[in-house]
Amino acid sequence: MYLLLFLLSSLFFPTTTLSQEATTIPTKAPNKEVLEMVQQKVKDMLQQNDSSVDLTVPKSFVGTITQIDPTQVTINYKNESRVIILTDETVFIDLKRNKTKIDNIKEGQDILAMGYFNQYGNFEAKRVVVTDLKTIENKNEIILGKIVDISQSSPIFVLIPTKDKDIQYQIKTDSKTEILDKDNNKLSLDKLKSGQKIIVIIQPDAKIAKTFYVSKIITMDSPTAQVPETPANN
Amino acid sequence: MFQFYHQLLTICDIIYNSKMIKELFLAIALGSILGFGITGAFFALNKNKNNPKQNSIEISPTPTITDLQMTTEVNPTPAVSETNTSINITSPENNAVFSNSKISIKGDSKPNSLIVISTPTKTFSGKANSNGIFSISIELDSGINLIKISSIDIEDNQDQIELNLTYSTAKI
Repeated sequence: MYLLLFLLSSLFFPTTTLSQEATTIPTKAPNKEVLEMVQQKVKDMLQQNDSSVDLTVPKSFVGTITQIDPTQVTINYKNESRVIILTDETVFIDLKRNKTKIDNIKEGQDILAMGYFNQYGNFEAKRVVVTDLKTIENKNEIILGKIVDISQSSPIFVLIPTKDKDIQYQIKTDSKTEILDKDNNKLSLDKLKSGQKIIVIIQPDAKIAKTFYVSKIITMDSPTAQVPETPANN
Repeated sequence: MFQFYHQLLTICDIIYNSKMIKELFLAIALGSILGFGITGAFFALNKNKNNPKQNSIEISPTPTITDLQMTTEVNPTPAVSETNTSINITSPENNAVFSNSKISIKGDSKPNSLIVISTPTKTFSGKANSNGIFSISIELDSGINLIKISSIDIEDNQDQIELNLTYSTAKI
């Protein structure tokens, strides 16, 4: 009787057992080597982050406000966003260098936030100064090139940059232009000759289109125009 | 299912109590069991074939190093030295704040390169030594200074990087 019951049971139970197995999703344990590698990598990353962020060194970030609320402000600078934490201690300074309140800080304004990174890697601002990115922009360009023409009647010369020979810069000098040789010795403007290789620090002249004002010139070599030609032996 | 079992038990009881045809019915029962068993096994196999996912071993995705890099928070202050140029600034760090206007820019570049540093209002220059190391004193303007640092080597290759440094006497 029991043998018969056992045989009958064994007929039906295997199918139910199979259906249970089908719903189970066994997970394969990660390889030990992979686990060790991942653990090491995480450790390295944590160490790297710890060493790169000194919580006692003040930092500053500039950008345009894209979002602001009483606890944090998001700024964007050169397509990079950064969240800045605001606290009760944060001091706000307006464009006229007067203390102001957070209510007067709006989206679209440019700010300079100074503060410290906290232990969680978030930047906490101690001082937020409203500023104007246009006024702090560094318009100077440092260009290496060769003088191709010097005006005899006006303080203007033409420079072709080494990096792009299809471009020509029309450069204007004035009494404030500093001219130095490679060893920082001062030179006079008349030492500049056509063919000379120089470095110029220029910025666009607001008054004359396509003309740049040069604040500093550093000569890289002696002018080729001054090299006397060797007389041919006849 | 219970009723089916009950009926089977009743049939088995009758068979067991009937001594005369006991062996005959036992043989039939065993034959049926065998038959049902084979049929059941056949259906079970067919079912598994139709749903291969249920029986196949699913390996849970092992986290790779690439995944970790993607989820790890980005370093808050990217080091200037990570840029792909020949010029490398060792001090100060990008976005540093100073309470003194006179600071030194230290770094390394190609040997004997000319280093030109431009703040929005002033320009400073110096030379890297034969090992490429340089240290140039500059003066910051009040507030933020967007600084351009250019290196020109002896073969006229020019590389440039930028630093944002702030000079502020305010208590931070």
